[in-house]
Amino acid sequence: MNTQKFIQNELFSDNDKKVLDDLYQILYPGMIFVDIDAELGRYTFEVNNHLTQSSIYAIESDPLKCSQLKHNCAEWEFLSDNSIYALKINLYNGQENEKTSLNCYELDTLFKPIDPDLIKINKTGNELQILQGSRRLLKKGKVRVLLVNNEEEKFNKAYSNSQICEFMNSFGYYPKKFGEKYLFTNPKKHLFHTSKRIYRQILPETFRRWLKSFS
Amino acid sequence: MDQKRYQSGQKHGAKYQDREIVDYQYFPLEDTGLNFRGPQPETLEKNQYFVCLGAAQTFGRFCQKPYPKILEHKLKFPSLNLGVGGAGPYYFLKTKPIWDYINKARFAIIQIMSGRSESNSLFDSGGLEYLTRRMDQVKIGAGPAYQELIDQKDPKYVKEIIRETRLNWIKNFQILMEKITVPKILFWFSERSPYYQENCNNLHTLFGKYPQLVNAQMVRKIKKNSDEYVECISTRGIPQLHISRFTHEPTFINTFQSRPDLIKSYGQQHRFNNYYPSPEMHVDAALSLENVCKKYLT
Repeated sequence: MNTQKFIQNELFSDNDKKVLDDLYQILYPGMIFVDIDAELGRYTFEVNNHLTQSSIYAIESDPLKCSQLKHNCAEWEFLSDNSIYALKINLYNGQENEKTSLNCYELDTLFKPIDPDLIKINKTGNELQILQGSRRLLKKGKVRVLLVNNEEEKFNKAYSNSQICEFMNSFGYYPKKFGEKYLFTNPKKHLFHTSKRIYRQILPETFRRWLKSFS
Repeated sequence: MDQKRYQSGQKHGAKYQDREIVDYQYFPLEDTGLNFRGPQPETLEKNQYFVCLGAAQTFGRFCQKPYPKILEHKLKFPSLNLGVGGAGPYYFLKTKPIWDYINKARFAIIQIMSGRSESNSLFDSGGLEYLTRRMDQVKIGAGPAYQELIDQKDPKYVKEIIRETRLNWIKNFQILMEKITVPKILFWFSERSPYYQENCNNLHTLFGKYPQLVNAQMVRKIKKNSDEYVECISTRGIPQLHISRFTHEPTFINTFQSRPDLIKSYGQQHRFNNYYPSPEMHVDAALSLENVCKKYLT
């Protein structure tokens, strides 16, 4: 059995596999993917296999998991045309009193000059906090957010779906059923960014600069 | 071992403070007295490796696997990375001990290097970006040197100096290409195309992005001396987040630790790399070169 099949069979539940099938549909070359709470990198592995010339940030707060993740990422990166970065950090909502350690970051600060295209959050209870630390990214509307929760019960205890939906709605984001999970997209801004990306892909850099020189 | 590497890095004028992010694995190149980015190629026998000449972009600052290394893996053929930070064509021209290594290779990839590392009647570069002002022998970075020129002299004079610098660059690049006897792949690796609109109003518009001062006309002139010409224009992965290889956490790097003149202009601590090609750009570079290189391996 090859590694890909092993990881799919052993690490992904049937629900997760449905998510993966849908996930492949929205991946495109050159995208920036952020895998939050990446654990040993099961999503990173899958996304890496389906992408070319892309950037993947795998974030894991557990030191032991992260050192294995780093090792895995280096191995997978070697066999692909993607750049994979493993990061050991905690994410929080930006409020000083919520800071649990020194290496706490808001997504907004961490990715200040970088614009991720897709963020996968795999948390049980921390989703809202992480999203609250991503206000700038959400305001821009380019990023899409995939919420993946393995333990529905825990998730429901910590936050209700409506709390997250309400927060996301305030930035123009709406959920879309995605396998058994939810993908939040800002439809208006997403359309704008997609057109921009296609325009960039079609017209070569030189021609775009030439056009720009007239404006 | 680490101490040895530190010393060799310092001798080389290299940016060893980057060790927080990347271990460049410097190794001394036999009979040259110089250290280059490692790991050392398995073999340096005639025709059994290819060579990459260039500046920091070829060296691969802040990058674990620069394009020579990625190509080596793709082509299954060893590479010798002769990238030197701040180098211009004259640096390779004057460093005679490395010619043997270049001409023993199967083919050579020559990155189009910056024009600001060239000498003119005001500055002596020695082939590198750290210039010596001829008037008072003061050492000054190319950026501050040309900024001073823009601030103090009229645009006509600045244009004349630029013209002289460019002519020297073309001449040296052409001589360098003539000295290289193996197949030559000329390589444009930048965030911009060779066509750029320049003016003498400020340093940024005068230089353009790296390779600074080099325009399409200059490229056309040196292209004639090469066997192949490859372009890679990419901005993927820029800005690049600095991540510590020890803690896996975002980290601050003093990009210009050994250059107080540049600290004034660019600041001291950086969490993002905005200047050097990102790992993503190096992948793009290797992909654009792959097919052309294959031609010389079969």
